[in-house]
Amino acid sequence: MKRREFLKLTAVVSGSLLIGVQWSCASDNMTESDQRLNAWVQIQADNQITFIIDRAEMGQGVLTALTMLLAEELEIEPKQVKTEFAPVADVYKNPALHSQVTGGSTSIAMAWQPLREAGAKARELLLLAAAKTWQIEKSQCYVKDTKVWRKDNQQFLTYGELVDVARQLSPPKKVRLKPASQYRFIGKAIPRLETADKVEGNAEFGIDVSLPDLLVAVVIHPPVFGSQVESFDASKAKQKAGVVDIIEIPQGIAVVAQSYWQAEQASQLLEIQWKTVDLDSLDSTIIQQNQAELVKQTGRLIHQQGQTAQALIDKADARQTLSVTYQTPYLAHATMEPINCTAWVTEHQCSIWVPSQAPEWNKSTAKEITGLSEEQITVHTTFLGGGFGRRVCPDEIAEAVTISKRLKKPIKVLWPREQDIQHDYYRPATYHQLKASFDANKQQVKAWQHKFVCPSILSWMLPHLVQSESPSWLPETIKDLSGKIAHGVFTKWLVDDTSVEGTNIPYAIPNQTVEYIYYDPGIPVGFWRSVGHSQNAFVVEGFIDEIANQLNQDSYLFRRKLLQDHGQALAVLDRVAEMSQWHQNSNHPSRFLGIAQHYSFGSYVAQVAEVSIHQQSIQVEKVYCVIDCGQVVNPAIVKAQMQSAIVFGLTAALTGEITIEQGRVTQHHFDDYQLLRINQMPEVMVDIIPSENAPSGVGEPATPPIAPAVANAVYQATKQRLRSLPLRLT
Amino acid sequence: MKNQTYTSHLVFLLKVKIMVRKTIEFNLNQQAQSLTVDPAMPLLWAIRELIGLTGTKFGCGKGLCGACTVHLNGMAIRACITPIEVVANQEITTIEGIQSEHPVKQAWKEQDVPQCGYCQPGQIMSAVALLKQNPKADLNQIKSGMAGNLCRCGTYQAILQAILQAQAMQATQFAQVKGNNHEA
Repeated sequence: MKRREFLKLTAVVSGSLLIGVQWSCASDNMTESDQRLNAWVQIQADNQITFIIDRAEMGQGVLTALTMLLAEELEIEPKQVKTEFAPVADVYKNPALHSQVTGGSTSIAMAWQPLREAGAKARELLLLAAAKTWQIEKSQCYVKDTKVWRKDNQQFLTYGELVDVARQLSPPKKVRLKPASQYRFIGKAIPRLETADKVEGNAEFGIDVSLPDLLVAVVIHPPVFGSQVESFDASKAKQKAGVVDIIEIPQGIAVVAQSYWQAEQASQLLEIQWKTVDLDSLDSTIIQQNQAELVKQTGRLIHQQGQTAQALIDKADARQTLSVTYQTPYLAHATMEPINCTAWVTEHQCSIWVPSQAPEWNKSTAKEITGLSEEQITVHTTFLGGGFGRRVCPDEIAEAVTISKRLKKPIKVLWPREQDIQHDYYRPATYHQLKASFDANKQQVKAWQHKFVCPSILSWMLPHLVQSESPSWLPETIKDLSGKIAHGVFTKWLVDDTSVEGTNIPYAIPNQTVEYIYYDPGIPVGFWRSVGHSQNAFVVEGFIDEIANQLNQDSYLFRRKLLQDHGQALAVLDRVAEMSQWHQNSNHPSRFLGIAQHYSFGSYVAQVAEVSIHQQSIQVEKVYCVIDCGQVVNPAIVKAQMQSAIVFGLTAALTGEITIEQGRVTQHHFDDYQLLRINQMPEVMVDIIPSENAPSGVGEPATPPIAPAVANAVYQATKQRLRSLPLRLT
Repeated sequence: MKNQTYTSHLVFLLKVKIMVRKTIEFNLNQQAQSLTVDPAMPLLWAIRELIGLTGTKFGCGKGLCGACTVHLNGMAIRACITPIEVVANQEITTIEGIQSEHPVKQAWKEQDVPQCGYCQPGQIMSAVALLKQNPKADLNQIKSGMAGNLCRCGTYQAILQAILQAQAMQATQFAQVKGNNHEA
């Protein structure tokens, strides 16, 4: 069968992004009558129906949930659908992120309307095609089980049989979507579509990609950030069996071998001199000293309400104020699937197979390195063995493409775990100063001041963004320059929302000031599940708890009193107090409760952690979690994501810490960067608030509240207020 | 002339990479395998790269995460730190060698355990071995038996549910077999 290009879409889905999109068939086995009905649905003459999944499946369940949205309107059982991960195309840009990127807990919120409309338009087109074929009114037809049926005589035509007629027709401009009362799938705990493949070991992750004559490369990166190779001696490494070549690339030294193990063994024999750089003398203690100094300065005003909090606090009697500092460390992502990318660059083609959250950025990275046109570059997205924000960064793509281009062979770059822990884009280390003042009777909190020191994630990510977002005719040098200018914009003039998100508190405190001080010690930072919210919620939910304690008020009731204007926040808070039997359990002799709530990614989450202390060690026994995320597409997936985000946040609360010594990361592996294990797993109970609102974020919002909920419970247990992560009793 | 040949021979000999190779025979999922390899090569890479079965995953290379768990004569081992010579003439089972109908796999599907799924083959292999050794393991024994397998997505609660379900399924199967034998 020959490859063909479809020059026009037969059905156009709402939104200008789709117009003019050209399609090329993904499969060689397509017959002449196979047609794509639109960007997300492909129906073949044999009635094989394929949905294109334009977001990365990294565990959060998009493969199933997006399929459910299409299937609901197209009247097809989700499990009957074949799914494929999308190529890079404008139509698949995430409108929330202006780029084909999976992140920000946006997948379902953004797909909710367009995917159901796409399913409905495809369905209407098929109904029209059947009506035309039978020469009857459309109203005399209905759809069921991938067929269009005649009401009068129960004859049917399969969707596949209707494709040829359907492609001649214009799709309806407007369609009516099902009311919630008619949902067959949405709102139901449909089993995940890829479970069997994952249980049998058949799901293909990036690391599993295989090509003829594939070589494996291990790249040794400069141990100190920003350093480069001064000189290297590969003579011993080259002696190792299986080693094919050892080359210097911009990212470090690449050892290319027949197998990963051979490359990794040989890489240990490399003798590399690294260039000295400023960061050689950087330690975590220096970073903290700098932060502690900087936090005394006046920062950029993020939020102001009422009078300037500083003035009020300065005027207040010392007995009526509270002043503390909070700290959070750098954190690595540590996805279970080590960082990898497979690339095959030839004179006229570049193919990339990668478990990536940002295929569009990968394409622009490959374009820059190869000089090929966009049409000559193909990005295949595989399953992702975890993402959590790490897999938007295209380092490994650049490495694989560079090595493949140089060696003219297909190359799989695979990072040893040590390289992953030591060369991540970390959650930023931050430093916070918080002050509050109360009335003379210590009944009310009058002023809240929060100043914090944090680098800008966007300034590290912008060079990638600028590359993929600039018009293709723009020369690379200009793009490079605009990337650098954009970096400067964030460091000098603009405030990066990913640094400050979560600091604008919902509590009814009359005078509030929040200030931000930019400080970047030079350690790469990136998006880490729930991003700025993850550290800022720890700080603000810890401090509000301290204020409640100072005023001798119950942590739950105090929050409740200050959240009267925030109905949804109040609802999750009340529900979690009810679930955890907050009042009844507050006096338990050995189990202690802590509460926290936080709004992020459009969703409200409240949690109660139940903690016990054994020989100075914190054991989280139970976590109660309530979310309001609007309408729920798949409650089982939402519940799984709550558990997942809590486990992720618990690792940060209990053990997670990346420290810097002489410009390099101290931690290497899972023994000194420990992740939560099953014997530390609390029992997690989840409840979802029923809602008719449009869906909002699910993948991230349950991470921010867990660390403060645990810290607040530890305070109840020990009267020690732990203000830095990870939580350590002294 | 003769000297030149001699020299080039020497150069050639120097260039030959120092390499020990050995033929290792073992059974993988009940099929005979014969590999001529460096005997120090970890079993993980022999399975993944030489034999091409990719269900067994690489996570750390130091036996710290359990993603590479396989069975050596029914016992769970970490393939990433097991030199292939250790398994000579032994029986190795990977995720592909556990039948789909096995109670552990069945329970894993019914509980819809996987999220990203990357660690799951290792989790399943540990669970199968655990229940084989201790069919009546209590919750604490299950937790300590599974503590060597990391899951960054946090599917631990679902894993515990699945193991308890598999345990119940195995007990029922066992009772049925026993009952049938009794009747016979």
